[in-house]
Amino acid sequence: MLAELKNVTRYYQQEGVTTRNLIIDQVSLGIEENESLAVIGPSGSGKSTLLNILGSLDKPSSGKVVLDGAEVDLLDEKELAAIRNRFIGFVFQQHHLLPQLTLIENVLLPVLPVKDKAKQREATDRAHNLIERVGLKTLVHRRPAHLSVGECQRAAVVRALVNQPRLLLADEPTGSLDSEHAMQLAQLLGELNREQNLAVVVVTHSMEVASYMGKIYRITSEKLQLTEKR
Amino acid sequence: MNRTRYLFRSLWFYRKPYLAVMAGVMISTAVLTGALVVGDSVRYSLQRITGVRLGTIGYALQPGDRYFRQELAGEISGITGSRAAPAIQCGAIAINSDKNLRINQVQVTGIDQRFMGFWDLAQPAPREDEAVISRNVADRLGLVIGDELLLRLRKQGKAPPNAPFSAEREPSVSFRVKVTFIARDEQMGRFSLKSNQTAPFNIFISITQLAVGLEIAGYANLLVAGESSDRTVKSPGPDSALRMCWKPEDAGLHFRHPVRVGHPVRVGDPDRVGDPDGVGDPDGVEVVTDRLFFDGKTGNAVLAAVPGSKAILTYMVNSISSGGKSTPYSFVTAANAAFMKQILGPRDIIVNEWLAKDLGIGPGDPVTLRYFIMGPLRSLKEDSAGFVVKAVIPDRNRLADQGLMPDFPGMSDAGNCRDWETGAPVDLKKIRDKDEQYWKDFRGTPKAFIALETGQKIWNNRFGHYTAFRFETTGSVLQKIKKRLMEQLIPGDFGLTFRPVYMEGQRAAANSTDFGQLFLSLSFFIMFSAVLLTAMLFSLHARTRMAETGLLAALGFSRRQIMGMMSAEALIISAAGAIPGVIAGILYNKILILGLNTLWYDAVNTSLIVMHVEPLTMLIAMVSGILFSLLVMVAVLIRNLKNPVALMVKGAFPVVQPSSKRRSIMVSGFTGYVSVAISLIMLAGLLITGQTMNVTLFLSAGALLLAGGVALVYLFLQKTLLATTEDIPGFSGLVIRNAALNRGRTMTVITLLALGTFSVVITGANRKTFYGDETSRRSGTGGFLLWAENTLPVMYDLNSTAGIKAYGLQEEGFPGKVRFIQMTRMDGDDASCLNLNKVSRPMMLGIPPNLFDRLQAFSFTSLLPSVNRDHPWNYLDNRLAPDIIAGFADQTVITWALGRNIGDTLIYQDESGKKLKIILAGGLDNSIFQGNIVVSDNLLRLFYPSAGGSHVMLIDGEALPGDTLARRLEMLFRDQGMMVTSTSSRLAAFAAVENTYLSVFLLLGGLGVMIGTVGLGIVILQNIRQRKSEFAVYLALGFRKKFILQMIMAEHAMMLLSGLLLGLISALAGILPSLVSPGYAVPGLFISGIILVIFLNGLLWIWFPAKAAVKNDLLPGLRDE
Repeated sequence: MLAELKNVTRYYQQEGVTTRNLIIDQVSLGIEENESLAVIGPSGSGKSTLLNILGSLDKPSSGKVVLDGAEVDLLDEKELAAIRNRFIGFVFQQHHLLPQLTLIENVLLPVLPVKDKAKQREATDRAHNLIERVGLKTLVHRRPAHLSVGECQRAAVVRALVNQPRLLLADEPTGSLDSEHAMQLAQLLGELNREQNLAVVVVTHSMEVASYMGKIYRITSEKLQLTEKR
Repeated sequence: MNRTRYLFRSLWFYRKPYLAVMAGVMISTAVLTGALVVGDSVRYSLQRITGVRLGTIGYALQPGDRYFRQELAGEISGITGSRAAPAIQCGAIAINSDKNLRINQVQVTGIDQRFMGFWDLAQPAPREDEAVISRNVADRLGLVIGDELLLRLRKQGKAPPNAPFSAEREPSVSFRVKVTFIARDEQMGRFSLKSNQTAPFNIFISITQLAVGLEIAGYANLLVAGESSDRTVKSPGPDSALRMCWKPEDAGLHFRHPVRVGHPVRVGDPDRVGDPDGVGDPDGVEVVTDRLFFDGKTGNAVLAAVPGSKAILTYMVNSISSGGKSTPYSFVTAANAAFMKQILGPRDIIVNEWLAKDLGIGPGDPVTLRYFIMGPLRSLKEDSAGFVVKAVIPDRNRLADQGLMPDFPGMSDAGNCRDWETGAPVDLKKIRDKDEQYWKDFRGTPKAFIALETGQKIWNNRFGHYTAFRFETTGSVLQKIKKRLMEQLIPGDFGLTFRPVYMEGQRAAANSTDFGQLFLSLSFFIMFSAVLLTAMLFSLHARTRMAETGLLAALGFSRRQIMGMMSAEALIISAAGAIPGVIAGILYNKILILGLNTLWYDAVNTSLIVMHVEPLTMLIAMVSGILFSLLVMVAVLIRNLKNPVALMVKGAFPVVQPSSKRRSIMVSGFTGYVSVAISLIMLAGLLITGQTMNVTLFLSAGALLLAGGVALVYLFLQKTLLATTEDIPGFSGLVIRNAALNRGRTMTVITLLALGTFSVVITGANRKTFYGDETSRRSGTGGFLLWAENTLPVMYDLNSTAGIKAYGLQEEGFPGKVRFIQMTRMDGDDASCLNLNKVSRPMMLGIPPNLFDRLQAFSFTSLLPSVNRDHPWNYLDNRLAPDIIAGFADQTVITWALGRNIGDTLIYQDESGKKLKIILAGGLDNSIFQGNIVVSDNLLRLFYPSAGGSHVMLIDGEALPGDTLARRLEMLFRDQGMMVTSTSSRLAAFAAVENTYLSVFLLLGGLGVMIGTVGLGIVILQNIRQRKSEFAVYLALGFRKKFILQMIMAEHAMMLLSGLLLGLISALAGILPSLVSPGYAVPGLFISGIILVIFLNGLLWIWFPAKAAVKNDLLPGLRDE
């Protein structure tokens, strides 16, 4: 199992107040290698919370998160950072490309913590290949301000893949795109899932985007339910 | 892609916000540099002034009111090979009669060419009737080269001015001299041996002319020495050289033949041993002293050098009487058995035939001697002693020797008794013709003889116990005796010790008031504001990069790595801000130095402060600037990095959880209510118990009120946020809730402004002014009316009949209305705040403890536990050990000028060269004695018996309109060069220094608060940026931009007002003593002005960003949402 959520619950509770604001409740989810899945649900249903917990950006109130066989709770900050750097790739609703860096520099940003020069070189080659793969080859030296939103988002996907993660987590990746660009991105994620030997988890409220994934889960009433499997 | 590239890309991309951060760093570094460089500059300037005032003089020998041979300088120079020059230095009054201008306190120095060599001046030394004057004398008296000026000096003579029976005649001498050269500061114009940065009024005249005028021809009272290269004196050093060449005359001792009847001698004549004129006794030798009386130590040295010598003490008695008959004004000699050739009992008296005949007495008859005992300021007490005639001797026998009478100035050379000029009142009516005849025939030949021990006991003369020693010897043996005597004596016992004046000056300058520290503390607020501004600007920038931080975390950067990357940026920005900051600091320092030399002259009392920059100081300032800024930026980063990554990625800020602060509400509520309650109770208690002078407690109450107020405002904001209502929110409700939502920032602004206002008002209101307070005995004036200082001493007790008569006070109608408290002053360094140098031997003032105790005058800040708190002054009259007495000084002098504590000991050298230890037994609360150590006058005179008349006095009396009394006194004592000021003016002069510091603080503090208001502007910018969508919603809901502007303005003006009001109210509580006391005039206009400026400046900084915000299209903010 590549990643696993075991009975994960997340709630927010105000100090001195007994009532809890439950976001997800007793959610369990297993993600296998090369698997692709989408989590859909209405706004505020806890999709992003689920993804953040899966990506170790947030901690569950109860339950366990296992990434690459390691229980997240037992990892220290350094180990967690290493997991995020090499095991997971993130794509957010906003591309979050750094305005001060060029496209290629942004893409290579995750390589900075890698100390092995050989791996850095590999990553650089991979970055160029991926950039070519997503059709941004001619734009590598442009800054985000001179790229379209779709181009930025594709660059963000390349950035997420540059360290060859085994799990790609995308939080509403098409949220800031028009429908044409949204479909292109969804298609890209599906292709990458197959080509790059990559497990992909996409959180979206778009059934069309979800349809590019192998499984579709829905969050309703704080619970996660498998609704479709291809 | 590597970290360096990331670093520089980020720095370049964010150059605009970083420029703002750099500006903050630059301001704080500039202020820090400026303050530290002021310290360097003042220290350097004082050291430079030491060089200017001393030329290349390294050592000085200045034995007070004693004199040594001028040849001594040449002899020391001959031994050491180093330059040495004699000089005579004394205080004088300088008058330009043509322009009717005068200076009451000038320093006149008699010099020759050797002295000028210490300044390498090609100018010839002043000859007879010529003068070299300093530039300030020329300016003050309106003199140019060729003009004439009149100098009036105290005719010092070699005898102590207050010695018994010394002349009553006018102790001054005048010179009319022509100005030949006007010396600039570096041309000897600033010559002074005192470690003080203020320039003395210097006049240099010929040493020969001055010595002759003062009747001390061939003698000097100052010897300076030093190599031109390094100011040292070559081996064997000045003191050893002195020991090798000093002679009896340098100790004021003279050897001569006793003179038989009919042959008057004068003390001061050269040795007359072997004098072939046959006037003296060729086999007898007599040792006498310039000081008329030998002190115990010197007397014992003579007795040790010449065992078996004849010890003599001759004294004038007012009368010798027996059986109703009386002989007036006669000399009586007390001598030892070696002189008398018989042993006299304590009541035995031997009389000469003349006296026996005059009184009709013979052996066995009783005789009474009446005589004066001399007190300070020529105060006299008549005493008497009874004797029985043991024998009657012929008028012209072995004992009848007119040389036995010491050379009392004004008597010895008088042609007849009626010409006597003595310090004691002589009733001329009592002098009969036969007394005149006796004077003609026998001069001061004693008429009676008593035992030495008896004479020493009854006359109890503090000036000494012998007037002469005699012994039989021949010329060759005499040289050995002289040598033996000089071996017995120590030059230091006669004040003949070289002081390393240059080194002392350098040390005093190096340890001077640390203006670096002072300006650091004065600039604290401006630095605090600049650092806070830096923190705010950086925080604002860091928040805009929150998503970037989150992204880095999401991409697998550890917090440490992110921290490292961001800190590297912060470090570069800090350095980039600090380096120009140091340069700006030097410019800022130039302004401060200009201020010190002009506007803030009172703080330094010199306009010679020059800028001096030490590279190390610049480095320290730069590194400190970098570190401070880096520290606050790192703190911001650490705080930001504590946020959840998921939140950071969204670029969001943690949502304030209102109810999560329940404990915080309790804490702020408790702190607020308790602090305010304690503060109010303290204030009420202080007012009810009348402790309106307890400034510290009032200030504490004010500070507590401030802390409580801040806590209560915080509580209010917390509660506002928690409150739920069904009502439609009103404008003010919205405003308050907005402030409450970001209460961290709101409280930062309010606290900063409140603290700033508090400090500014407190310091502003504590500027010292004196209206009405000076009449209180407990105040710093002691309730006395006037303070007078005179250049030439006042020799009499001005409250006595003799004093009233001597100075014509009767005609002014003063007796009964005016009381004079005359004080003895021993010279030393000025230890007041007017002198920046650190001094070790402040001037000593002898005061009357009994009187001060009776008046309960002055207040104390601290006292030794052994001092009776109800009667502290009486403690000064205790002689704690043979060489230890107690002294008081202003607490500020003890702490700052001396760097000491209560209980510490200051070491002086008394008149006989012995150590005199003064224990600092109490600290006075800001008094007119600032700069001096006050001790008991009686005890002071015990250790310095030759101390002359008074130079300082306090005057009590009826205040006349304006300064009428002061001017009348100045006219009366014009010849003494008296300067009279009101005690409150004197205190105000000291307060001027403190007030100047306060002015600097106010200015810099006000500037700091204004920088703080720039921070307010940044808070608004930040606030507006975050609330773009909120404003867009208002617009979408149909509100006008004007409403948004009003809301922003109201919200931030509320912060501004709250801060100002909190600070103001707390400060007013803190300065309640000043408000309720008639003794203080709170500069309300000044304070109101400063607060108004801060308020308007704050409004400006609210207006600009708010106006700019609403000018922009706000609706895209809604789309972002």
